[in-house]
Amino acid sequence: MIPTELLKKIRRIEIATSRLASELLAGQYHSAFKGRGIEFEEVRPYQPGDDVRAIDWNVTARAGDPYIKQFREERELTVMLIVDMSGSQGFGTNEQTKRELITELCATLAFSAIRNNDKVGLLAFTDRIEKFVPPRKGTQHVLRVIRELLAHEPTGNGTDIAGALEYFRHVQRRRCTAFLVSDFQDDGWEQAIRVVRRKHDLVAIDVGDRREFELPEVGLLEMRDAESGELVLLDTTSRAVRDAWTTQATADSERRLGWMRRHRIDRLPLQTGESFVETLSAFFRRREARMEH
Amino acid sequence: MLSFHPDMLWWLLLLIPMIPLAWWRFARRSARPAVPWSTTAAARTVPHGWAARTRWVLPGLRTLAIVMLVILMVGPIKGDEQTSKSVEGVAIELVIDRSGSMQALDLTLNGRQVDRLEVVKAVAADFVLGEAELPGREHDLIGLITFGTYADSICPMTLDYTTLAEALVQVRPATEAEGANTAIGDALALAASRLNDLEDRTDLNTDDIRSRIVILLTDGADTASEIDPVAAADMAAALGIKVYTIGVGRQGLVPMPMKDAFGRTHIQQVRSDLDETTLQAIAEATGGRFFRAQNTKSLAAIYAEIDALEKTEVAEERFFHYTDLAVTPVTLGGVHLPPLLIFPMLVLLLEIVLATTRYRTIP
Repeated sequence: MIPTELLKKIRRIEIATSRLASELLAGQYHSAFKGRGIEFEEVRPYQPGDDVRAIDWNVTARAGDPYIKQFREERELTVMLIVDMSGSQGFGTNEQTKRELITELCATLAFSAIRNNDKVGLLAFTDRIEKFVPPRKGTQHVLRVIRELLAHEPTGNGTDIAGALEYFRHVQRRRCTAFLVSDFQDDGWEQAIRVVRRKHDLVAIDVGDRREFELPEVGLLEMRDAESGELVLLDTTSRAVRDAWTTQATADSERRLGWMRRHRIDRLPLQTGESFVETLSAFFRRREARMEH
Repeated sequence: MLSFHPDMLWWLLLLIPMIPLAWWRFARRSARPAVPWSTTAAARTVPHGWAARTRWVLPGLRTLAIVMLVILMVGPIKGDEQTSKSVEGVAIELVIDRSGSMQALDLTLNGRQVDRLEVVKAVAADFVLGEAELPGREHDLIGLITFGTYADSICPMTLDYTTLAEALVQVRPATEAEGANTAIGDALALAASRLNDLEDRTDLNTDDIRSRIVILLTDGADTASEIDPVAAADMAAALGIKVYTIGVGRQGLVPMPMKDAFGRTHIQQVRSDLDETTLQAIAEATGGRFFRAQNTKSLAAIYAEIDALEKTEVAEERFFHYTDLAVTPVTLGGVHLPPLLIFPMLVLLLEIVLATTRYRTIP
C-alpha cells in the first residue's frame, strides 16, 4: 500500500471512529471499565453525609476526630488489543471483510481509550506473533496502532490463539483490559483464556460473517479454506447441503459461545456489514450494569 | 470397411499431451480458482451434494470430446474398394468339327458310350465354364465355329460364356443335306478372319487382348475345303494367330450309326481316317501344338494343357474410394450416420450446457 493512500485510510478511520468514540461510546467506555482499580488517595476529616463505612478507624483513633479514607479511581488503565490477523480474516461478503471490521472496531476502542487517558497496546498474531506494540498514551500512538492494523502484512496464515495469549501473559505483567479480537477458528484456546483471565480483564470479540453460517445459492461452489488451503466443492443448489452447513456452523459457534458463557467470559459477537456501534454500546451498558453490583 | 488414413496416424500423437495435462489438472488442483472462505471445517461433516460429487463429468466430457476430435482428425474412413482389373485376355476361337464322322461312338462319357461330338461339346463347355481339373476361362473372348462341309460362325467372340455354352449344346452333327464333309481349311480360315477383324466388330477394348488362338478340333481329314488347310494355317500365322489342333477318336475301325434306305439306324464299323500330318503341320506353322485325344480323359487333359498354356494375364489395380466419416454422412450396416464430427460437437455442447446450468461453478 502506498503511503499516501494509507495515510488517507488512517485519517478516514480516525475521523469516523474518533467521532464514534467521543460522542457515543466515551461515557459508556468510561463507566464500563471504571472502578476496577481503585487507588487510595488521601485521608480527610469526616463531613456529614460521608459514608460511615469509609471511616478509617486507625487514623480516627490516633487523631480523636473521625477521618475517612478518600479513594479515587485508577484511571491509568491499559488496554491491549489482541488481534487475529490470520487468513480467515480476509473473508467478508457484506461490504467489508472481517479484517476491515476489526480495524474499525479496534480504532474505535483505541480512541475511546485515549479519550480516557488510557494506554493502548497492540498484539497482532496469526499462527505466530506478528506485531507487538507496547501500550502507550497519546493520539500519535493510537494512529500508529491503526497504521499497523491497516498495513501490516501477516507472514503467517493460520491461527494460534493459545500461543498469542501465552505471549501476551509474558509481555503484559501488569493487569490490563484485553480485547481478544478473533474468529476463534482454532482449537485448544480455552485453557489459555482461563489462565489470562486470572489476572486480566478479558473481552472476547467474536468476528463473524453471515456467509459462514449461510451458504449462498449459487450452484456449485468451489471454496478454499483461507487458512489450510483445502479445497471443497459444495453443491449449494441443494437445500440439504445449505441447511446442513448452517446447522454445522451454528453448532460450532454455539459450542464456543456455550463455553464462554459457562466460564463467564465477556463475549461480544460482531458481524461484517453490521454497525458495531449499537452492539458495542449495548455491551458496555451491560458491563456497566454488572460493575455497579 | 472401416479404417484410418494410414499416413494420418501420427496425429494420434496429439493424445500424448493429454497425459501431462490431466496430471497437471490433478496434481495442481490447489492452483485452481476457488473462493477463499474463512473456514471449510463444516464441510467435513456436511454432505457435498450429488452435483459436487459428479463434477468430474465436466472434465470427463471435455476429455472425451478432445479424444474424439483427435481420432476424427486421424480420419476414420469407410473405404469402398473398387478393383479395376486391367485384364489382358486371350481371344479364343473354338473350332469344332461336326462332320458326319463325329457321330462315331468310340468315346465314353461318364461310362456311357456316346458319339464324339457329345464328348467334345461336354469337354469344351467345361473348358469355358470350368469343371473338374479345368479351371474355366475368365476375361477371355471366346467364339464358336462349327464346320461340316461349310464352316459356320455359331457364336461370335463373347465374354458371355452362358450364351456360348448354350450355343455349344445346340451343336448337332451335320446331316448329309447340310453337308457332312470336313472342311478344315475353310473353318480355319473363317476362325482366323474372325479373330482378325475382332477390332471392327466388337466394342471391346482389343488392346486388352494379349493373343489370339484357335482351338481346332477335328476327327478326320480335310475333304471339302476350298482353302487348303496348310494355306489357311499360314494365313493364321501371318495374322499372329496360334492354332492348337486336336485330333479326336481312335484310328482304324470305329462304330458308327448309319441310316439305311428305310431310315433305320444301324451300327456299322467305319474306318476313321485322322489326317494327323496336316494337323501337325497346321500347329507347327502357327506356333501352336497338336494333340491327340484317344478318349474323353485325354481330351480333357488336352484342354487343361491349352488352358495352362494360354494363361490370362490379370493386372489388378485396387482402388479405394474413401469416405471421410468425420464430415460425410454415411450408411453403415443399415444405420444412417451423420457426419461423425457432430458427436464431439454434441459432447462439447453438452459440457457447455451442463457447465452453465446444473454444474455452474463459482468461481
